[in-house]
Amino acid sequence: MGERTLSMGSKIWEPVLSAASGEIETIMPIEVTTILAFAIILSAFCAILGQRSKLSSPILVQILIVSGLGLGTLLTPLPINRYFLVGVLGFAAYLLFQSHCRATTKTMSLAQIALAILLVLVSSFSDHSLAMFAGLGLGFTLLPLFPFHLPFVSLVSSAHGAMSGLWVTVFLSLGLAELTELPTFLSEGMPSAVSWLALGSALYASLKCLGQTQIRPLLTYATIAQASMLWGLTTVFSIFSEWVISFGLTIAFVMTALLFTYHCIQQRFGSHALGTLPGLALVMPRLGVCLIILISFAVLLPLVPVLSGLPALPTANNQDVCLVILCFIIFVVWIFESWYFPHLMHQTAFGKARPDIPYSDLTAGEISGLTLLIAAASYHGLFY
Amino acid sequence: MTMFVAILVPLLPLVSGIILGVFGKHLRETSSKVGVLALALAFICSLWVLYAVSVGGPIRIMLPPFHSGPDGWFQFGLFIDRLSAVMMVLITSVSTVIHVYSIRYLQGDPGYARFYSLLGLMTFVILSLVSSPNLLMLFVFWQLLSWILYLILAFNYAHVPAYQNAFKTLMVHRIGDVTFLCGIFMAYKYFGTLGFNELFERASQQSYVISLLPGNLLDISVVTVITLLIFIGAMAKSAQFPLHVWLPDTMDSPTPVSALMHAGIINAGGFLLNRLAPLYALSPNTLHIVFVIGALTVVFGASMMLVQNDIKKTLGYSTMGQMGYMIMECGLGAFALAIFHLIAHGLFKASLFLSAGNVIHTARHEPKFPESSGHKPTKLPAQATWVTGMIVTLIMPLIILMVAHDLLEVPLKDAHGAVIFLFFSWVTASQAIFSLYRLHAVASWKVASAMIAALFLIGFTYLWAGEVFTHFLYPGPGVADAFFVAAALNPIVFDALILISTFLIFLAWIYAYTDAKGQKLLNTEWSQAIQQKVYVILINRLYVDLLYMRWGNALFQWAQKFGNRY
Repeated sequence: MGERTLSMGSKIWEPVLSAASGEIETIMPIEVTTILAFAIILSAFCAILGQRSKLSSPILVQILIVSGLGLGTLLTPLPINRYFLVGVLGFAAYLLFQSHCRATTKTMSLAQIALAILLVLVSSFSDHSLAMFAGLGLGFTLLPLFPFHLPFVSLVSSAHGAMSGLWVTVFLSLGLAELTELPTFLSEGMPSAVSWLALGSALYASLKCLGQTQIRPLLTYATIAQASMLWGLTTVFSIFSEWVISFGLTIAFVMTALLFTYHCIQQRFGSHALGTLPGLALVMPRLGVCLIILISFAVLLPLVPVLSGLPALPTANNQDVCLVILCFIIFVVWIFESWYFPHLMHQTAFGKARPDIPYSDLTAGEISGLTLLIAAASYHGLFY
Repeated sequence: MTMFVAILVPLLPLVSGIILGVFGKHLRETSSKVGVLALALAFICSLWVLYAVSVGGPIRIMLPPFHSGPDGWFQFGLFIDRLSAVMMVLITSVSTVIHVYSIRYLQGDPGYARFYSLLGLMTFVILSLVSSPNLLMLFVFWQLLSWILYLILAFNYAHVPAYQNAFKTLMVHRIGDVTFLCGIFMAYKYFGTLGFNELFERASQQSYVISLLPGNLLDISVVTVITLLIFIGAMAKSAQFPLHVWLPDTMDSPTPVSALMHAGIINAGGFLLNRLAPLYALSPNTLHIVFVIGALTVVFGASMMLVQNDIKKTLGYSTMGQMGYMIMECGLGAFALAIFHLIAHGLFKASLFLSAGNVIHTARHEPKFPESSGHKPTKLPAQATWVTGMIVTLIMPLIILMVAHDLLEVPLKDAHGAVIFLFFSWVTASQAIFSLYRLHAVASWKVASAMIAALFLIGFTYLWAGEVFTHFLYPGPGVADAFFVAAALNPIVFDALILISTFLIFLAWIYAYTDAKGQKLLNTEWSQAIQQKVYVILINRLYVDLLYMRWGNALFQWAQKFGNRY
């Protein structure tokens, strides 16, 4: 792998002030892969907790396979981890092939997964610069960015049971692991191109969110919008530090928890579109509290990178274009999410409940799963 | 000891909010006692802190670094100077009264504990906002305030208009929040710090320019860009035109929330401008824009207030107008006066809101078919009305201006104190006399004399107290004067403003007089048509709400088409 300083088993970069030069340099004190692996384990555990149906054994198998492959990708050395990554993508392709997506979407998603597998191989067996480009393409697929987002959208939208939340964590964790290998490349190679792509992606995903009538696609595109902001931030905050991991994982946990919450509703009342089941906070108070906490978290998500990333903003008078683009990205993501997240809450938690439905609040297992995810998101977003 | 007491001020409402949020169901009606006790203690502590800060200077309490940034500036903590201490006393006092008022107001409501919890958390957020030691912490609490305000406005979440209006409020606030963040990015990028004093120092020493067009065709100072971006944040929170649309629609929330909002939250914009006054003083262009926005808000807010037929909405538009004054005062460099104004207005408006319920309640107990006045001959305004009106709107402000300058040594004729005072006097007095004219109330010389005397007293007291408060808030020699100098308008503009205002007042009086006497000097058909059109425009809130709604719906429909197609 030549000059690639960080591998999958590498440690996170943390900016420290050099006494001699006064510039920021990096040290590597924390195992990034351990944190990411923990995220997958936690999500898988919560997904298992959330299964109530007697027919859930195939889903349990899926959960175990996906989390196992994800952990293998993160915890094994090169080049074995690449085979695990191919396994994750291959299994995703298998599930997509069996799903009931629209034919065009399915074909395009499968083609993108095939391209991603090719990129994995290229990144493993080619020279430095080509490997970097391949890694970047892979990053765009795993930490989804338009137009590489289709596998992510199709998988999360069509997943059974609590698998949708797990897919979010797995994709984002593996994407963050890929991203840790690209900091220099991002800051010196092509920041403005990535910035423009992130802006386009943020706009596309936010518009898609506004137009959704189903909850799961809405949350999927919301994740893409947040991921676009993460990409935009990486191009401006050139020093790649722990804030990327903390922000990325906070997105993953919050979105997984939201998907998990709506999965709990779906288990009780079947699949439903936005607006068909309002007033749940009144009749399911535990669910109401969880929803309000999670949507509050989601709306305030952009604060996380600001808090943790701002000290890494270069003050030198360069990268003005990227900073302006970043401001636009933040504007787009914040304004649109201020629309669709509260709207989501209005359509489900707020309003008057329907009297014709027998309501049952969250069980202890579901509450435990959600509490764990909220705690993990709080730790990464606020304290870590 | 003072440090400990200072920490208690925001800590007590926070603890109360958390306790009530977690154990509220078990505490039930006792929730109010916990909330009231915490806030009463916080109020006493804030008084202590105000005294300590007045005597011993600012207090700075820094918590362990949240993140070890290059300069170590990024810390959570408390910075309490006279400005923060005054704001803390205002917030805790109003919040305590509101906590006490809510004991009976919300009795029996299933969300009793939740309400007290949210009220406690909101008070904590506002207190932390005003005591922030740097721009970033201020921004964090600015954000939290937007969200908590949304949650408390949507308190009756089963009631559709309540959460829809809360949503509207959130959307407008978020526009301001994003521009505020962009301002912070710019400030940190160019000056490398967000600590207040360091930022002011570096901004005054280093001048950067941004070219908006290639070839340096349109250069603009970085400080101007930063201050403008931050000002948009202040505009959203303080309901300045055209970001005012959220304020009049928030009346579906419980009355105590309206009171706290109009007495505390809405002042955030004025506080922000005051906190960053040294930065704003570096950009006269921004101050002029601030002045124009404030003046527009005053005129539109006061005009729209006149056509309302709902008590709470009238109060809402009145607040909008008063916030316009406050921002206008900042735009003229009278930063301390703006704080004095917001305190006076906050206390006044909180009491009005808290008594609005009683007024409405009494009105509902009137006979079912009140005596109609439609067929009675309209009583024409008496001579006393005209004389009182002329004295109050034209002569009194000028007399006070002269006397205050010479006797009380309030330098109103210097800089632009006169503009603030005359504008304020004219618009307020015109509103008062207009309302009285409509009610035909000033028919007695006794009433007229009492009214004129009261207004003279208020005018002089306001000027004297404002001057004393300015020296209290900015005790450094020449600090307050420097703000006036920075905001100085072109003398021609200054004179034109005075002349136009005087001319408009005269015109209005001639029109009203000739109209009352049945003369047709100005009362032609076209003027009546204009009058009706203006009325329709004002009752439709200048169509700004409609415009935003249409844009929003168009975007939403377009997004749905886009979502389905791609």
